[in-house]
Amino acid sequence: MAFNASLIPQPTLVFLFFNVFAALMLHVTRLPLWLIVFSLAALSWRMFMFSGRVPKPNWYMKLALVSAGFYGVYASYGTDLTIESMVSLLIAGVMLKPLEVEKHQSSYLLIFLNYFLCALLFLFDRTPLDFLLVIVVMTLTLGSQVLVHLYDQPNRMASLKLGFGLLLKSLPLALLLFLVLPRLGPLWTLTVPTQSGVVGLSDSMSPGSIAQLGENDELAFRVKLLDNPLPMNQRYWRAFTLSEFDGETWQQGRFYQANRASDFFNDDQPSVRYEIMIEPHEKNWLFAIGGSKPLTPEITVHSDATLESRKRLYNQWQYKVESNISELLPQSNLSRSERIRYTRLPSGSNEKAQDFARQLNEQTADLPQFISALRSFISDKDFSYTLSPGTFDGDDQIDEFLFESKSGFCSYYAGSVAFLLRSIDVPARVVLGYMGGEENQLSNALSVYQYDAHAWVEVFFEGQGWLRLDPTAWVAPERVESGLQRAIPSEFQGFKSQSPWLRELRKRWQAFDYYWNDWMLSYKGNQQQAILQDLWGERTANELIGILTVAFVLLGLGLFSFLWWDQKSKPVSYEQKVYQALFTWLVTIDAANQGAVDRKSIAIPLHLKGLTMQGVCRELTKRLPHLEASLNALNKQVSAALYQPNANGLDKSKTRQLLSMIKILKKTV
Amino acid sequence: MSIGLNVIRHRFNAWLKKRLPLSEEIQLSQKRIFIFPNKVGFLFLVLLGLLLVTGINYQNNLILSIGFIMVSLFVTSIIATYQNIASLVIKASACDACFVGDTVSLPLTLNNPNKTSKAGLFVGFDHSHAQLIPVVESQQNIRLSYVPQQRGYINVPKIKLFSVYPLGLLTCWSWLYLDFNGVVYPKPVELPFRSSDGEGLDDTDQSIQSGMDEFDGLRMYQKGDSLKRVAWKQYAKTQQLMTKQYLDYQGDERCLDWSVLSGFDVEYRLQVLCGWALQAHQQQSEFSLKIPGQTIPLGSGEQHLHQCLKALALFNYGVKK
Repeated sequence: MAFNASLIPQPTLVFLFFNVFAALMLHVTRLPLWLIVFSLAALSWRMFMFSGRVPKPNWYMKLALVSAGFYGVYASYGTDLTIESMVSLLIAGVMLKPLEVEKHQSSYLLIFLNYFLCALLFLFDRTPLDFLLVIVVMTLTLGSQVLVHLYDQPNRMASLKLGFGLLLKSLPLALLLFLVLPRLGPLWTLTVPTQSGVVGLSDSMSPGSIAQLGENDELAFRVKLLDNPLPMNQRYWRAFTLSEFDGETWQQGRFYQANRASDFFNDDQPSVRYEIMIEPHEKNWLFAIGGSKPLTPEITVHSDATLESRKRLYNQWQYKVESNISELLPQSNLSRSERIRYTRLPSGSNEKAQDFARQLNEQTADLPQFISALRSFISDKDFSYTLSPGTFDGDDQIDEFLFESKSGFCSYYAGSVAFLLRSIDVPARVVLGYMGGEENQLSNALSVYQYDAHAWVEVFFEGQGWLRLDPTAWVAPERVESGLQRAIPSEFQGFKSQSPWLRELRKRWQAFDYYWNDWMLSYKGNQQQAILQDLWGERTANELIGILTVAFVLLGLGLFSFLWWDQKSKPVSYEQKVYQALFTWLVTIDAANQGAVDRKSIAIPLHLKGLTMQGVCRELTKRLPHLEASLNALNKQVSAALYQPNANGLDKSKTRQLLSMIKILKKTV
Repeated sequence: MSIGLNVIRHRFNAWLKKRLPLSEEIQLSQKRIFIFPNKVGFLFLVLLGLLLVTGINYQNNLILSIGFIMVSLFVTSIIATYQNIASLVIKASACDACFVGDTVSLPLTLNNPNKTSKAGLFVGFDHSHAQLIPVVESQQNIRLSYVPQQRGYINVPKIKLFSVYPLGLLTCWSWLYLDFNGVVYPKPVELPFRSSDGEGLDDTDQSIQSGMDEFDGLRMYQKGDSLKRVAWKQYAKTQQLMTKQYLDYQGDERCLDWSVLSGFDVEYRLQVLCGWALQAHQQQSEFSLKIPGQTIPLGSGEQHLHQCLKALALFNYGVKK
C-alpha cells in the first residue's frame, strides 16, 4: 500500500527507538554484557544513519549481524533451551529490527514486538514495581504507535496523551476480562527452566550450601494461617529429608509414597490449617510442618512425611495443608530397609566422631540422656554459630568441625548430630527446609525468605516416631526464637534497619506485596470463583453465561445507540420540511417522466438546484397546470407565515396541515 | 476476472450507490462508514494470541493482564478509529468546465464540526494513490485530479476516504459519491469547417479587413471611424486626425449545423461541432449552432462559446447519471 510505503519522519523514528531502548532497559539486569553492547551498537548505527555518513546495512551485513546474534546467544547460554536464552534471542532480533525500519509498514512489527518484550519481563520479575514499569513503557510505545500515524506532522506530546487516553479507556474492559475470564490450564507442558536456576534449597547438603541462602533475601513462600496461630518455635517448614551420607555430603534417598495420605496426621492432636503461596523453585517439593494432611489435590505424601507436588513448580502455586503442631512425627516402627537406610554410615569416615559418640553412649543410660549429653557438649563448649565458618579441606570434615573449628551454621550442626546418632545405631535423618517466618499483621500472613533456610535432625524413638532435634537451637537459641537476624546481626543480609518508620513502611509494602500476590499473581480457579460469588452471589455456570450474554448484548446496544446518537442529523426547520416535501415531489415527477423507477436513481438537474419555495411551486405548476390554484395557495401560506409582519414562521400544527395538503394534492395526480 | 465476480462487484456497486446517493455535501455518519481490521490489525491479533498463550502456559497472570489490556485496546481502537472520521463533512464545489480527456482538478472542502481535530485522513479514487491530509482542524480545502471520460455533467466515480488513525489496526473508510456540478465538453475533433451549403472554408476565403487584431499602421481619419481608434498622441503632435489600422481576419458568419454531418454517429458529430466551435471562436468569427431540438443564434465571445459547448455536452443527456 502506497500510503504505508512513505518514509517515517526522523522525530517519530527517534521516539520509536527510545521505546525500544526502554524495553531493553527493563531486561537489562539479566542480559549478558555483549547483548547490551550489541543492542546499543545497533541502535546507534541506526541513529548515525540519519546523518547519512553511515551507510544502510546491505543484505550481507544484516546476515552477519543476525548470525552474530545467534552465535552470541549460543556462546552465552549453550544449546540448552532456557527462558533466558529465548528472551535474549528475541531481544537480539528486536534490537536489529530498527536497522531496517524506514517506512510505515515496517514500523508495526517493531512496535508489536516491543509490547511483547515488555510483557515477557513477567516471566522473571513480578513485583508491583515491575508491573508499573511495564505499563509506563507500554504507554510510551502506544504513544509512538499513534505518532507513526501522524505521518509528516509528528507531535510527541499529543501522541503520548492520546495513547495514555486510549490505555485508560481500555482499562475497564481489561479489568472485566481479568475478573471473569476463566484461567485455562497450560495448553502444553512446559519444561523450559530458567537459566540461573531459582534460588532455593538444593537437593543435597554439603558444607556451605545453606550459607549461600543465608545471604539471600528473596521470598521463598508465604503462609496464610487459616485458623490457629503458629508459635515461632514451631515454624519448622519441612521440605525433604536427607538419608544418604557418603562421608561428605548428605543426599536424598529413594522414598515411597505413604500408604495413606493421613498416615502421619493425627486428628486428635492440636492442628493448624494454612495456605502456602509458593514461589516457583522448579522442583517438586512443598513445605509443611510436621505430620500433614494436604487439602489440595495433586499432592503426594511420602514415607518420610514430606509433601511433593506432582508437577514441577515453574510458576507460583497455592496449596492448603492441615498439620499437627508437634515435635513428634508419629510412626510406630521402621521397616528393615528403612532401619538400614537411617543408620547406614560409610565405613572408616570421621573415626574420631564415631569414637566420641560410642564413649558418650557408654556414659549415658538411654537415648534421651544421650541426646541431652550431646546438647550440653555442643552448648557448653565453645561452639559458635556463623554463616562464614571457613572451608574444611580434609576427608573427615565432621571431626574437623566438632573438635577443631567448632564454628559453623545449621547444616554443620545437623549433619554432625545425625552422624553421631547413627554412630550408635540410632536411626536419624537430616531435614532440609525453612525455619521461621516474618509476621505481617496487615496481611495476616507469614513471609518466609531464602535466608530462613534451615537444616535440622529427626531422630527415631522406637514405638513413638520421629522426634525433631534442632542442634542449632542449642548453640544459638536466638536463631530459633527470633530468627536469623537476632542470631547473627553482623552477617545478616536481609532488611535490618532499626528505624521504626522504615520498619513500618516495610510492613506496609509487604502487606501490599501480599495482596498483590494474592490478587494479581494467583487470581484463578477457586479464588476467582469465590470473588465472583462475592460479586453477584451464588450462580450456576449457565446463569453466569446468561448474565454475560445479557451484559454483552447491553454493551453492544449501548455502543450502537452511542453511534446513532453521535451521528444524529441536524434538526430540520418546519419550512425546510415543507420545502423538502415539495421538492421531492418535483424530482419524482421528473424521474417518472424520464422513465426512472426510483427518484433516487437520477441526480437533481442543475436547473432545479437552489430553487426558492416560489421557484419550486412554479416548476410544479409547469408540470401540473391543473393544480395551479392549490400550489399558489400553498406558496402564499408559507410566505405569509414567513414574511408577513409579526410572522413567527411555521409552527408544528401549521406544518402538519401543509404536509397533509401536499399529500392530498399528490394523490389527485 | 471471472464473470461471476464481476456480477458480484456490479451488484455491490449498485447497492452501495443506492445506500449512498449522490450529493454535493456529505456528512459521514454511521450509515456511510465502514470499518474492518487491516493486515496490521491481524498481525497485532496474531501476536496478541501468542502473548495470551504464553501467559496461559506459564500460568502467569501478569502476562495475561497485559494481554487483556491489549485485547481491550483493540476494542477501544475500533471506537477511536470510527470517531476520527465520523461526522466529517465533505463538500464538493463546482469544478471548471473541461473537455473529455483533460485533467480537471476537483475542489473538495473538508469540514470538521467536532472540537477534536481529525488526523491521518486519505482521500483518493483508489487505496494506493490516495492523498494524505495529516490534520483537519476545522476546515481544509483539497483538490483531486480527475480525467473525465464522458461528455455531459461531470460524473466522478466513487471517492474513497479512509484513515487508520490512531493505532493503524483498523481501516475505517467511506465511499463518497460527490456531485461536482461541472460540465464536460466533448473532445474536440479538428476538421475543416463545412457550412450548410456544402462549401468548405479555405484560407483564401478569409479576407483581411480592418479589425481589432495586430497594429498595422495609421491612415487619415474618415467619417465613421471610432473615436477609440484615433491616435490621439499623433493628433497632439501634428494636429491631424489619424486612425489606427489593425490587421484582422475577417470574422465571417458561420452556422455550425448538425445536418451537415449526416452519416456520422452522434458522438462524432458532437465532437466535430465542438472542434468547429473552438475554431470559429479562435478566428473570432460569429457563429450559430444548430442541433436537433436546440438552436443557438449567431454570437461570439467566451460566453457564447461556452453556451454552445454546453449545449453540445448536454445533447440528448437529459439528466445526470
